[in-house]
Amino acid sequence: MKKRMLACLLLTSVLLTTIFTGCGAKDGASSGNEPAPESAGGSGTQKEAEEPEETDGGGGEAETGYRDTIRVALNGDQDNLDPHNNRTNSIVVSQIYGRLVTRDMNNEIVPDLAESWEVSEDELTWTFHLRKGVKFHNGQEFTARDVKASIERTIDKVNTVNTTEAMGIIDEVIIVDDYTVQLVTGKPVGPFLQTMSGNLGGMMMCADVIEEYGADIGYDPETVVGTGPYRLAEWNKEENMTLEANEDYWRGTPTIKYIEFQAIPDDNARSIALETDQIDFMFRVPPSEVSRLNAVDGIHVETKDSMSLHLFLFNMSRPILEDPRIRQAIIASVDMETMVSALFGELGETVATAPCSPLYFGYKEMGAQPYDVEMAKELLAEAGYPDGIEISIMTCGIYNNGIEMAEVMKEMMAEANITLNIEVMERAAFSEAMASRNPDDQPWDMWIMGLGNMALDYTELRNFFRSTVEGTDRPNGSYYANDELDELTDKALYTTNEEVRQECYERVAELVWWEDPAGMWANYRTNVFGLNDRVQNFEANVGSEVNFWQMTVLDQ
Amino acid sequence: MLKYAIKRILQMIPLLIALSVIVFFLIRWIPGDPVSAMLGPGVPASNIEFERERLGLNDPIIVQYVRWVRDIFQGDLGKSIVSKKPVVYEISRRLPVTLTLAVGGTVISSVLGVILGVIAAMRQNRFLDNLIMSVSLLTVSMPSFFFALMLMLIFSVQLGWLPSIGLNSPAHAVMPLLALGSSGLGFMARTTRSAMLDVIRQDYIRTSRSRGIPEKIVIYSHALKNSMIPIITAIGLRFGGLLAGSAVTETVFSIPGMGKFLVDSVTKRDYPCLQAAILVLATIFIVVNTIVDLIYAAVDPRIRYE
Repeated sequence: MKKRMLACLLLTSVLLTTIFTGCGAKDGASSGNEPAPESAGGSGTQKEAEEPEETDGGGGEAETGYRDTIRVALNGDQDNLDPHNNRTNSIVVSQIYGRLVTRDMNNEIVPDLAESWEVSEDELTWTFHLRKGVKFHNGQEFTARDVKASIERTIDKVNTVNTTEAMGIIDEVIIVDDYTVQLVTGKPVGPFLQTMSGNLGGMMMCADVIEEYGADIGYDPETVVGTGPYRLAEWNKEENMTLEANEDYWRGTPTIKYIEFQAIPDDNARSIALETDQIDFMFRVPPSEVSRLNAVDGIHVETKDSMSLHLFLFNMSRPILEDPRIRQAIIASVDMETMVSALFGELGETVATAPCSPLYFGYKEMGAQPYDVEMAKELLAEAGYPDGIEISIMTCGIYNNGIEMAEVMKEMMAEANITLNIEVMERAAFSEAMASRNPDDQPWDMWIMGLGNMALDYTELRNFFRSTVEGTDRPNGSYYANDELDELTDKALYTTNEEVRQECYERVAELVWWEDPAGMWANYRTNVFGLNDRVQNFEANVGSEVNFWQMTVLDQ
Repeated sequence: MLKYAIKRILQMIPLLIALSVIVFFLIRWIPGDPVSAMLGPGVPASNIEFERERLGLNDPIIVQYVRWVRDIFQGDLGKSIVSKKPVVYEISRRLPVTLTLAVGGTVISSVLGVILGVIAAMRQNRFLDNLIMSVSLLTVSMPSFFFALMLMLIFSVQLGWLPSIGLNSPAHAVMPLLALGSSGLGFMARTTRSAMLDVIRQDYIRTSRSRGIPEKIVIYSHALKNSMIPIITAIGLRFGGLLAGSAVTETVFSIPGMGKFLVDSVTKRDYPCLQAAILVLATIFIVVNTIVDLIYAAVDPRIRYE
């Protein structure tokens, strides 16, 4: 009996040892290898271990005093690395792919893969002169053929991609010669360059890769081929991803040779990883950690402008919201300024004072939406509800403080006799409800939404509030309908006269802000990054696109 | 014994079939749809329809079920909707991690829990007993993510001894194992204590003592062995709990294991991954518990399965 027990124990310990050593052996070869905190002060070039041929380079780095790897924490993994289908964000794809024109770190439109461009007199044909000698990661040269293949992929009405709707302004792509390409639109488009620079659909892919891999693009390194400063080296989904410098990058060879992205979804764990030197750089510092991290020696937090804001849309399919006075009363019952400073003050975020961020073309300062509890009660009484109303709001934790905001609003609205019922949805159910465009699947009076687009143009309001989406009879996301807005946003989209466009947008802003309110605007967002002090030359644009290729990591 | 073992293994088959039915239909019952979860809000309905059609999600649910079962028998668990990689690959890179953590966590909580439980039983109602029972109450009631964060603050931030992210070296495994081990520790200690107390009061223990057999032998050889049945049961359950139930710990330490995989798959409604993951974990759980049943006979010769 004893022997049997002993054998059992022995077996278990052998099993355990096998499992543990098995894991250990695998680690030696894995690329996501992280040094223990105490050893991180050393060379920091973990790549040397697995790639002996790099040893010489490593020695050279010691002389220059820079590390060749930056360890970066994301709050979640990317869905895919096909720029035309990526819905996560452009943080990673912007490192891999280039655009014809792009937003620089000051958010100005600057040449990227196109050196120059001009528009025809009728404003329908945009001619782009391409940069010569630009190489894709697979060694092929970037030419007009790739532009045609990339853009035709995004405007294909049958095999649509995620960016088809935005890129639909283009009708035709004409190759003039290897380095000249013409994009033809049906009508003159005001924010044409903005769309090309601000939409992932404007990212250029290799024609041969599109042909060979089609819908399978975006997961394996051989299908992820761009012209950007980094190429995909390895990706273990939901775990880590390594980008490797593109030696042939046309702007120059990046100093940082490897970017190791790691998905650390837990906010606290991400902050601790930065604090303990397990990562050098983190995206999305949570509000509660900003002052704590700033107080730690050797790391700091940087805040950059964001293109986005939070708002709560009114569901205009709900009969109770038909009367604009009801919507105005709901708006006036909430002290948004106080709420935003309480919930987002740490991040430096402020209350929205216009329907889009001040960085947008078309911006005009309007001040926060009115807050006046007495007025709210009067408006309700005028609209026939002297005893108040009961409404519902749907929110989702994927938005920063999305649930907390609704809770604060509930308290505030109660003062004006508005009973707010909160429903919290989790991510997938939220996405499904929002995708359906069927009022029966959206039984709430309001819901949370983010608004932001790197095009930085008020035409974003057209995407949100035009009564039907062009080319389809599909309603917009919140069933908002206002003839004047439809007319004005169309007019502003299809003219290049900036004065006319500005005028149209100022009127549109008045409409959605208070006259026929489309929602309750909350806060202008910021992009908040955590950095080790070793990390130098960091910049980011409004889309959180970071200039890793120019950055350095001091070896100290 | 062999006959019993075969019988138990055969019993697993209807259980697994029932499980596959429940898993498949229950998952599709949850509101939410993998395609709109993947594509996000504001995507044209035509895109969603196209993708649903391509993935076969528009077929009658029975047809989908039959297709799924047929593919399983051909060794094909399908492809992940999210990563487009074979489900087998997704599971195979996570299962070893989870097994390591589950085995390690179970060993830690069982070894320490049994020792502490025996000590407590021996010192019943004295200071050491009260101390052990208080500590075990604390570990049972403390949320594991909180304990994990405390460990991180102490060992990573304050002392700088251990890395807190990933699972690339034995040093990385220390805190996750402590976190997982501690949560079962109290449960094991309490189970052991009460089982021991039941046995200790019995006549044969008093007889052994009166015969002058050394206390150590009485306790560890006579009493503990006869208390093993509830303890082994608890160990089996604990292991099962750690297989799928360590999602929170895995998330905090950014470890790509099955628990986090399950939660991610639920969030994204990745049906193929979710179904396969539950089926694999449930199979392991059933196998482990069958083994536990068989061990009963080994530790307690009175148990016979004829």
